[in-house]
Amino acid sequence: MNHFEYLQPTDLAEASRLLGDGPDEAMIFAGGTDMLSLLKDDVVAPRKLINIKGIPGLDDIRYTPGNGLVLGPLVTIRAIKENPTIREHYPVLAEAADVLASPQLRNLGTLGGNLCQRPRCWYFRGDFDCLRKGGATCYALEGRNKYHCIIGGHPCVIVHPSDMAVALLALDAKVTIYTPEETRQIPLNEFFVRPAEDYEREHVLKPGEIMSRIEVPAPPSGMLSGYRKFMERAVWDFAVVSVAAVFTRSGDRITGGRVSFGGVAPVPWQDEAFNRKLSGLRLTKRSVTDACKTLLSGAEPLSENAFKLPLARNLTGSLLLELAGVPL
Amino acid sequence: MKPPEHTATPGNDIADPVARPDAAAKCAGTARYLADLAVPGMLHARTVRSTRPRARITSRRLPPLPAGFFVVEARDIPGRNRIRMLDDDWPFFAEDIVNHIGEPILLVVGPEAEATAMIASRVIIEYEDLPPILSLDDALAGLAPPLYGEDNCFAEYSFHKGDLPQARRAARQMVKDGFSTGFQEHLYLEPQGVLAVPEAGRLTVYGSMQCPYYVKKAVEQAVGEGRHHVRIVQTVTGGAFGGKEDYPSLLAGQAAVAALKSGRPVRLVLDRTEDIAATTKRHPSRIDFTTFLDENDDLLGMDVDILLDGGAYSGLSSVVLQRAMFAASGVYRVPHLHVHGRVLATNQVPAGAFRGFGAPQAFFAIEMHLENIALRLGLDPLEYKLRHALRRGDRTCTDGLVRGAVRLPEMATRLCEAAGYPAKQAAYTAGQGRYRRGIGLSLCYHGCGFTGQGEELIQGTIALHKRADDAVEIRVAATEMGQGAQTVLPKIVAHSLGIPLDQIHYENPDTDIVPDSGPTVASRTTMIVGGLLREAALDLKRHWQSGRVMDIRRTYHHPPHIHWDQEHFRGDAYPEYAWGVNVVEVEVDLLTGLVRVIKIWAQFDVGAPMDERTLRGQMEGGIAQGLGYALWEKLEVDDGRVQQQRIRDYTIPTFMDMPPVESGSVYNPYEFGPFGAKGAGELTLVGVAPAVAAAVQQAIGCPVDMIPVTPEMILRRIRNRKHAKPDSEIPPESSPRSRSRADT
Amino acid sequence: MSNEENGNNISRRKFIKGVGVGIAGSCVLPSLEQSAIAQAKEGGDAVHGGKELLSLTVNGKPVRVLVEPRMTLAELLREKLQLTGTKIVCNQGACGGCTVLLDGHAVYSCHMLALDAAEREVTTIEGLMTGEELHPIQQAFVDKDGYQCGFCTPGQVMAAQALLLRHPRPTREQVLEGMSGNICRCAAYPKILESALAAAEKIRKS
Repeated sequence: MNHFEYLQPTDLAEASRLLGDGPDEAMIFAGGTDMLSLLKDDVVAPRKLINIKGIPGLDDIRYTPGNGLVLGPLVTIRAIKENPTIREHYPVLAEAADVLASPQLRNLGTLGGNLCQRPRCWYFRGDFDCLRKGGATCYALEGRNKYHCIIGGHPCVIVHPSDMAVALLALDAKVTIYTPEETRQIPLNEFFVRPAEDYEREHVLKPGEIMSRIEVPAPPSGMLSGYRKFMERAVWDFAVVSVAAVFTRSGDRITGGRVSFGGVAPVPWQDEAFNRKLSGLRLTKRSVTDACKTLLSGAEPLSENAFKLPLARNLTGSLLLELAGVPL
Repeated sequence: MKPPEHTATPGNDIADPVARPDAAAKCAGTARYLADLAVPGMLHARTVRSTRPRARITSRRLPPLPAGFFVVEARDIPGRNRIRMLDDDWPFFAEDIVNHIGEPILLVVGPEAEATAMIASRVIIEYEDLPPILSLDDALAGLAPPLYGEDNCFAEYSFHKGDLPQARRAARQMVKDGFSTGFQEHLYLEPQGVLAVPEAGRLTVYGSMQCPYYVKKAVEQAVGEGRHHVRIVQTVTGGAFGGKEDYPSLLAGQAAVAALKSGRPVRLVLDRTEDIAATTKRHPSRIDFTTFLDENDDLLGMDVDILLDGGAYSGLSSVVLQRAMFAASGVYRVPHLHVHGRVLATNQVPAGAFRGFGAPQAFFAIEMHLENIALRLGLDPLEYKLRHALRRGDRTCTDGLVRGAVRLPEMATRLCEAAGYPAKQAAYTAGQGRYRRGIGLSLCYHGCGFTGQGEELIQGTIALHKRADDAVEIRVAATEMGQGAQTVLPKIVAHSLGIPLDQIHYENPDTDIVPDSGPTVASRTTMIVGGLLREAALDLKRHWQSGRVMDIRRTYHHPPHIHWDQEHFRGDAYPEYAWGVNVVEVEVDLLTGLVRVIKIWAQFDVGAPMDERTLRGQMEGGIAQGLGYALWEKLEVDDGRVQQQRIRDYTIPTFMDMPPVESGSVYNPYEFGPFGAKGAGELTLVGVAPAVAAAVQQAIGCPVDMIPVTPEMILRRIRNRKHAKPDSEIPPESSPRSRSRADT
Repeated sequence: MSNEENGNNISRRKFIKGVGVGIAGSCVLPSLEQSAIAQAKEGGDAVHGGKELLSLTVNGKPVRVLVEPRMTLAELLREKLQLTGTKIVCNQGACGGCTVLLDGHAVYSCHMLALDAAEREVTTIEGLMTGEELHPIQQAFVDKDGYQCGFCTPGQVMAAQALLLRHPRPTREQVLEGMSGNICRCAAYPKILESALAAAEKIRKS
C-alpha cells in the first residue's frame, strides 16, 4: 500500500477542493471497504485520501410520503437493511441490502461507496496491466470470464458489482452531484459509464465532484418490488446475476414498471425493449416466460459465461411471478 | 446433531468427551501462533518468486539495499539446495531454471517487514522462456521437453489381481466411465510461517507444521549435515489439512539459511496470496474405468487408469498415487483387476498432501462408477453396492486380507433408513417442476497409517517420561493442528495408567525433547502413535514407582500378520481400514443450477472413538471440506498461474452453506489400536463428493462426471439435454435419466 | 439505527482532526511517550509521509498513538498495541478472522484504517476477559468445543459478542446471519452455533 495523506474536511466545498486534479492526487474515503482493497492491491495509489465522514448530513435517511426517499451517500448498508420505512415502501432496496457482502462489511460499507466501487474483475484487481488500468488488453476476453459480462462489454468486459445500484435503477433513482460551481442532479442510469465511452472509469464524477444525495421517487400505490441475487455461496459473493423488479399491476396485468440487472453488464443494466413490454404484460406463467425469452437478446456471452443468459431470464421470470403471487 | 451411536460399550468410557486442553488459550485469544511471535533483533523475510511457468533466469537485478538488508538465494545454501523429501528434485531456491509461477528465487531479508516487501517488489528477474507444460493434456502430448526424468512422469505403477484378460473374455457386459477432479486448496486459516533463530552452535526453527522431523531433516540438508545442531519446535498451528506436511520443509530451510547468513532470527510468514498461489494443492485427477460384468450383472473385472497432475516437483506425489490406486476399486470385491497409475509433471504449482491423500479422487470416481452401473442395470445403487462390498475374509485390491469385521451393511442400512433413502431414491428420479430433489450414497474406506511399507520404514518411536512428581509427559512428534491430538493422546495414556488426565502433559513437539514418532499424517496418530503410547503406558504402570523418574520408549513394528510386497504392490497395503457411509440429499433449482444441500447423514467405523466430541468435530469438518470439494472449491491454473489467489475468489463453505449433518460412529474395535481405535481424520472427507454428485445427478437427470459441480455446469448440461427445445428456459416436465457421458 | 448514525457519531467525528507532525511533538502531546515522539519526527520525512495522532479507546482504555495513515486497525492492534489475539487471515475483509467491535458493531479490523477508529471504542478478544476469567461467550466456546485449530476463534467470539449485544435472545437464524461473516475452515460451524446459543443462555442467567 502506498503512503498517503489523510484529510478530514468538514464541508463539501473543502472536500471538493482537496480532491484536486483527480484520483492520482486524491480520492474520497467513506466506508473504505472497497478502498482498502484497491489500496492494498495497488490498483490505486492516491497521494491523499479525503475522509468525508466528518461532513454533516451525508448519512441521513429521509422518507416523505408523496415525495419519496432521500439517502445520503454515507448511509451504511446496515442502516438501509435495518430501516423499517425502507423495508415497507421499497422492499427491493432492503432485499438488496440483505444479500450484500457480510454483516461486518454492511456495518462499514456506505451506499455511495457501493455505487462508486470499482469492478471486481480478477484481472483488474490482480497484477495484470489490463485495459482499465491503462494497459492494452482486456485479459478476460480470452481468459477466465465466468463472472464477466454478457452484454454491453467491449472493449472491457467487467460487470458492475453493486447490488444497491441495480435496486435503485429499477426504482428510477436520481443522483445529486456536488460540484464547486453548481449542484446538479442526474438519473442514476446516466451516472454509470460504459466501456465504449471510457473504459478507465465506471461513473461520471469528475475531479472535485462528490455524490451528495440519492433520491428515490415516491412509490406508486400498490407498487411491488423485489431483488433476487444469484450467488454460489450464501454470503459474501458478488452477484453472478441479479435482478431487481419494480412494477404496479391491475388485475392480472402489469401496468408499468422496470426491471434491471446486475452481473450481466459493465454498468447496472436495463433492457429498454423489455421494460417497454412490461406494461400490459399478463402475469401468467406462460406470458411471462414468453416475454423473458427475448430478454437481453443482444447478449454476446463469452467463452465461460453463456449460462448467465438463461440464468438472467429465469431469475426475471420467477421474480415477476413470485411478486405477483403466481405459482411457478 | 445426534450423539454418535453404539459407543457406549462397556470399558469404552474413554469416548466420553473432556474439555480440550488447548481450548482456553484458543478461545481467550492468548494462544500464540507463529505470526504472533516476535523475538528481539528479529528480521523479516520476503520471497521473490518466479513469474514464469518455465524459464531460464538470465539475470537478477537488485535495487540498492539499505544497511541491514540482504538477500538469500541458492548460492547461499551451505548444504544442498534440495528439500529432503521422497525424491531429490525440489530446490529451496530456484537456481538457473524456474519451473512454476510462484517458485521462490530469493529472499529479501531486513529489519522492517514493509521495507523488506518493498525491496522485494523492486527486484527484477529477467528470463528466457522455455516451452512449458501447462496441463495434463500438454504433458500427455509430450511436445515440450520433459520436466522430470525422460518420460516426465514422477511415478508410474501398475498392479494386477486375478486374470483380467480372462474376465474380459468371459464378460457379458462392459461399462466404461471416466471422471475428473480439479485442484483443491487447503486454505488453512493460519498462513504458512516459520521463525529461525540461530544460537551458538545451534539453530532452532519454530513453525506452523505437521511434521517436525521432516522439517528437521530438510533444514539439516540445507545448512549442511552435522554442521549445526538443528532443533525444530512446532508452534500452535492454525489448521493444516495436509498442507503443512510438505511445504514447511521448504520455508524452514530458507529461513534457516537466512538466519545463519545474518546471525539473527529471521521470520518468514507467507501472505495469503502467496500461500494460495505457491504452496501445494490436492492433485487434479482423471480416472477411467473399463468394467466387466458377468451373467448375473456382478462385478467380474475392472481395468482402472489413474492420471494425476503432480505440478512442478515430485514432492509426495508417488505415495499420493499409491493411495489413489489402492482405493481404485473402492470397497468392492473385484475378482480380476488391473490398476495403472501415473503422476505427470507440469509447470504448475506443485501438488502435495491434502486430507485424504489421493483417496478423495479415487472414491469420487469409483463410487460414481458403481452408481452408474447400478442405474444402468436398473438396480438400486445401495443394494448393488452392498452386494459387492468387501466382507471379513475377503481379499482387498492388493490381495490383502480383510481381517476385521466390515460393518458397512448395517451402517448403510441404518443410515439409509434414517435418511429415507430407498423411498426418496425411487421418488426423486421422477421429479418434476423447478426444484428437483436428489439423494446420493457413497461407501468408502480409508487405510489407517502409512501406505505400503511406510510404517516399517519410518519406525515411529515414542517416549513417556514420568517425573518425580508422578506427572507423565508424552514425548511424541505428533502435532496438534486442530484435530484433537492433544486431547486424544493424553486420554489414551491416562486411561492406560489409570491416573487423572491432568497428570498427563503433552506440549507441542520440540525435536530436542521428543523422539521421531513420525509425521502427523495418514490417519496414523491415534492408531499408531496412540497404540505405542498405550503399550508404553501399560509397561510404565507395571513398573510404576511413585516419586521416581522413569523413562519408557517404544518403536512401532507392524503386527506380525501384516505383509507387504512393495515391488508388486501385493499384500496388506495398510495395517487396518476405517470405513464410512455418506448419504446426501440435495435440491437443485433447475432455473439457476444452484444446489442446496438439504442434509447429510454419515456413519463411520473408526474402531472406537477416543473422544466423541472431538470425533464429531472431525466428522463435521471433513464433511464440510468434502462438500466444498464437491460444490464450490474451484482452483484453476491458466498458463501456469493460479487464477483464484484470494479468499474471496476461492470459495469455501461459509456458515450459511453448512447443511445439517447427522453423523455417528459404530463401535468396531481394532485389536492393535489403542482401546480399539483406528484412524478418523481423513475418512470423513473421502466419501462426501460422490454422494453429493450422485444426488445432483439424480436431481438433474444428467450425468455428473466431474467436480466441483457448479451451477454453470448444471445449466449447461440441462440445456444440452433438451436441445430439441432450445428456446425453452423453463425446464421440461420430467427428466428421464440419461446415461450418456457426453457433455458440451 | 439511522438516528444513531446521524447523531452521535458525526458529532464525535467532527472534532477529530489530523494533527500535523511538527505540532505534535512540541505542544499538543505532553502525555506521549518519548519513543512515540521520536517516531513522529522520523515519520516527518518526505518519503514516509506524515504520521497522524490517533486517539481511541481500546478495551476500555484510552489510547493515543501516532500512526501512518495507511495503517489498518488490525496492524495497530497487533503491532503497536501487541494485541495479537486479533488474527490477520485474508487481509481483505473476506474471512472474519480479524473481527473486532467498533462501538459495539462487528467490523473487519484488517479492512479499515486505524484512523477511521478515531474517537471510537474498539473491543478486541483481549477486552472480553475479566482478569484471568473467561467471558461467558469464551467459556461457552470452551464448553461446546466451538473451535478446532483456533485461528478463526477470536473473530468468531467477537462476532458472537456483537450478535448477542444486538440480539440477547437470538434465534438460530439470527445466529446464522450474525455469524455469517466469519469463515471456519475446520468447519466447526455446528459447534460454533451451539456455542453462541449457549452463551446467550449463560449471559441471560447471570
